[in-house]
Amino acid sequence: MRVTAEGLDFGYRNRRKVLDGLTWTVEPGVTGLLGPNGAGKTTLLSLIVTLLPVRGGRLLIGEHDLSTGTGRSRARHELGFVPQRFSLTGELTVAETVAYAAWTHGLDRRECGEAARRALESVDLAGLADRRTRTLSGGQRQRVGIAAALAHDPRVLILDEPTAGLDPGQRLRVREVVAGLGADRTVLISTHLIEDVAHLCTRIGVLAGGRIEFQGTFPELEALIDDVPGASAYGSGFERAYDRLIARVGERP
Amino acid sequence: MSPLRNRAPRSEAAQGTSSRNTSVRSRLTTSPLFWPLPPPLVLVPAGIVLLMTLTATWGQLSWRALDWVYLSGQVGVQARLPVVVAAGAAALAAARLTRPSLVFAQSWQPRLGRDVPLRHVTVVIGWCLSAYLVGLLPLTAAVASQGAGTPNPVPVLGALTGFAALTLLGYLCGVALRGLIAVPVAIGLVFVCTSLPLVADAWTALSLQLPFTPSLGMRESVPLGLYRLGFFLLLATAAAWTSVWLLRAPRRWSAPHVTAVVAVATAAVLPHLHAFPLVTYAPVGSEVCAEREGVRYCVHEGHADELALIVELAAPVFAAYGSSEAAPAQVRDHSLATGDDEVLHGTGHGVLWTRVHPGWDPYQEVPQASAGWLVPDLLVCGSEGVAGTGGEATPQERRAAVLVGLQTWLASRSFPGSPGAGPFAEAAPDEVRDWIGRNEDRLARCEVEPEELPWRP
Repeated sequence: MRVTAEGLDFGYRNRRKVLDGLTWTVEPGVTGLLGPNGAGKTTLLSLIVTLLPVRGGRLLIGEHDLSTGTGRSRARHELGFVPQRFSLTGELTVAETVAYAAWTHGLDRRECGEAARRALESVDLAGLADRRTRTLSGGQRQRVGIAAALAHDPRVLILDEPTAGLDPGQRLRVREVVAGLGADRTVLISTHLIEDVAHLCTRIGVLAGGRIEFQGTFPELEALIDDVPGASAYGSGFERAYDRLIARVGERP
Repeated sequence: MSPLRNRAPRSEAAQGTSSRNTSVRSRLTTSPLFWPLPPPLVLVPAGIVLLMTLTATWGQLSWRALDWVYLSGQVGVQARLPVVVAAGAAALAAARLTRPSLVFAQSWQPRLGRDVPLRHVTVVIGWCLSAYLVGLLPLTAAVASQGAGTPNPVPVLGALTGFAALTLLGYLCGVALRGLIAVPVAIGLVFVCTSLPLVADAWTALSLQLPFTPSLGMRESVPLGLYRLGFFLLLATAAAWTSVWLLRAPRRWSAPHVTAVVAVATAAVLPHLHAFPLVTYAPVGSEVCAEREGVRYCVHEGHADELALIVELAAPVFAAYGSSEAAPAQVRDHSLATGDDEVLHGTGHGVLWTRVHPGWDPYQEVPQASAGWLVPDLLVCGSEGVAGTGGEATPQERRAAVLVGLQTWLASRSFPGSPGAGPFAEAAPDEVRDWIGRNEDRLARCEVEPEELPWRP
């Protein structure tokens, strides 16, 4: 299922536009959304998960137009979202948390146990199903979040900074989990960690100045540095290309 | 491709049990009785509600003259504190399970905008209200065994709707505040709501109970009951709607929602502009009568079991006074009254109205009322109700003491062998009867001094 933005505009009250005619199509598979702080990544994700209303342009989840109530309502059943910061409640076990999430995403109560089992297996947490969430490590909590977003088997999964704040070992585990999720769904990962994108994503989009300044594959982005004079000798080719791209957007009048 | 991708993940099964694939199913509670709340979140408050209700009604199980009208009112009265617990539980459920930071409580999730709050409150209300009704069962059984009167459905419906509405109000506190602070706020708010009728009658239309509980022969005013029922329905609707509105994204006011909120505010003001009558007389049912020594005793058929005792206790008092003209023509059960005038002017028609009510103590109330009928009111003495024979007592107070002594002595005649107390304690019944016959007019004018009593040493 594709996520399609056509001429998408968005601005908060009395402030400049955060998104300015953004046009982008996110295809099935794992796609990375990169961009500097304040570029509008979180705003774009909030629009995609219907937390914010679409006011200008079009935004579609598959065929569902998010500017209509019906479209929003139908799209919500197709979406899974792991926010950058989320909490778990100590009253529930891991399995109860995921089952509860499956229910709030629209599954029938009787299906939630089995859905939780499947989701926990997919993030390799089935062994901790009966643990209280307060006893989990940061990486385990992150995977519980992913399992909660997966429990209703969404066709579009949005992850906002999924490895932020994790130590290297936990980050690795989360990456391993996420890597397997794009086989049969559209996964969009917003991150400022180029390393995450490099390891997980088959395609990337770079958001800067309210627009997608680049969309394509790594080789296509890396190819940009060949024609960029004065590019730094430090960092990977991808990082150098990305930095130059952002700098170029910043130099615009 | 990163070499990290090829690294096999270390299974968390090493930290779990060996039966990892079945553990999710084995422990997960998806019973419709609790879902989606953790069972302790409803079982604990429901248990408290049950205990509170049983404790509060236990003493009434042995009461005399229980009737269905009284029980109908008690459904609201006894709910006063249990509903505070239910509201606190609802606030806790909302505060713990609808915080927007929770991974399963994001406002865009399809069920959050309606199903989640409705399911939460359904489970909390279902458990707490059921516990409350179960707690009322023993009292209901006690009333059923006496079987007087008929249930009054309007106050019962109003009380149960109020229970649900105030629990919803607690849930709204939890949704609005999204933190544990919501629990004491909800408890305080609902406690205040249930206590308002104790402050002023006008609040009765907005609360669970009357300032007093009507019993057989009376009933809660129908306009008041219907108004209260309507108010609680409105409150429940507005609270549910507002909870849903707070949880939904994006938030949009709807005309029906605004109308419901405005209607609740308006409905809360109206009773202060137009006072409802609290109770009305409803003497449904026939009377059962007996006659002794010229006095006719009548009670409501629902109080037929009390009639013999009333006669047994009142007749000796009238007999001890001696003058048959002084005794009332009738002693009537208040449950037979048809209006205030009839009761207020009872003396003029020779009728002593006695209130037979649930929990009454006929051994105390009948002799006192009967003696009170025979002895003039202390106000005639001009002592402002004060009676005494001590050194500092005024002459009016000393004369009032004679009337008080006489009333006490007469009331004690219901219990053969009782020596009585006060200035008439040592007197022989025949001697007192003769003395009353000679001094009836002076007694009526409160002119008798304690020193005049012939049996005083």
